[in-house]
Amino acid sequence: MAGQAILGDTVLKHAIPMETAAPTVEALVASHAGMIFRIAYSILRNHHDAEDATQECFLRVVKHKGSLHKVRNPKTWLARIAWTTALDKRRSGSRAAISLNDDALDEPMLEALPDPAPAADAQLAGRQMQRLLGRLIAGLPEALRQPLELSTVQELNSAEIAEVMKIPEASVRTRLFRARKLLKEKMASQLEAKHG
Amino acid sequence: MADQNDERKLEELLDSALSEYSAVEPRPGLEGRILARIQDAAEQPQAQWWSTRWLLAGGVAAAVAAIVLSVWLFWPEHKPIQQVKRDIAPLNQAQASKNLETTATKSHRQRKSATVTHKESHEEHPRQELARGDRPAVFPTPTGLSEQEKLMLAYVEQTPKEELMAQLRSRDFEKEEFWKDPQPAAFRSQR
Repeated sequence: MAGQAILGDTVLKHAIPMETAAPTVEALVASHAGMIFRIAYSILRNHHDAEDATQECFLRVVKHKGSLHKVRNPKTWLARIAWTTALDKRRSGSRAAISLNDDALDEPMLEALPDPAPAADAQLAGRQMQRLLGRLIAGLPEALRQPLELSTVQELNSAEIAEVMKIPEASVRTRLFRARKLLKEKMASQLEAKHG
Repeated sequence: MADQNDERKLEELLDSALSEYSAVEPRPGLEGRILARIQDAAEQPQAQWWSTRWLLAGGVAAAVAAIVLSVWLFWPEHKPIQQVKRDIAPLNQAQASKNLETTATKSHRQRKSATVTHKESHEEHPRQELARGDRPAVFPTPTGLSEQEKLMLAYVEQTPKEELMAQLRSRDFEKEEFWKDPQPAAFRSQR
């Protein structure tokens, strides 16, 4: 492996793949649990549901434990599993009827709490902005919303999003551009309506 | 120019909002909870398999017990045998040969009274086997004529046939007359 590192990334891509040990489930959990959680959270917008989806994702991984050695890119492979798991969970809507969005849960608590510091105003503004953004994203068409949600996860770039969604990278870029444009327009109209 | 500024501000606002959109950290110990759930999931099918195996084993055991019981109850040889107490002392060979006739009759009576199966009586009682072996060829055992029978036979042999026939006829005639007459002569003379 040390020899390969000297050769550089370009050579590595075309090099004959060396025999590498399949990653264990424990190793995958340790290295990617946070990313999986964030992917799930970007879709479900709820801590509890996101954690549940994360655990479910790794249970699916365990089912395919025997074929882990075939996985070329564990990160995108896991991201895809997390994405489909979260989408399944959102579609089933089993908890959606009962649980509320994390922002909605926080709202009464924030209102009840006293406001000791001036920074709390900024926090509240940030939360309001997040709520607005959540509503706007939820109103986007699914084809635009899905890559946008994945793009909010810091660990994923457009190429990886393309691999997760099994679409060309150019499509991802196009969809992201269109989604952002739509969001900007809606945000502008919302802000104009608020500030006059 | 102002439009461009607004556009840029909006862009920055959107970027910052989107960067915070999924910038969340899970509760501490997520990895541990995931691994615990994986372990639970791995143990659950094993427990199910064990319970299924025990159920299967119990079912098989019950079926085998039912088969064995039914065979025991309905098999003719295994029907409950009525135990009969026998207080007959075993006979030795010498006694058996000495009292052939009495042994035969005794064994016959005993066989009648005992309610054991025929097969068992064969196996368990050599005394009866012995009696059967010594049984005479002709049954019932031929015995000699009594004195009265001998006299009767001598009379029949010595007396001519015509006389015997005449006697028989006269006896038959008397019988007929007796039944024809409602009041026999002996009856009439008494009156």
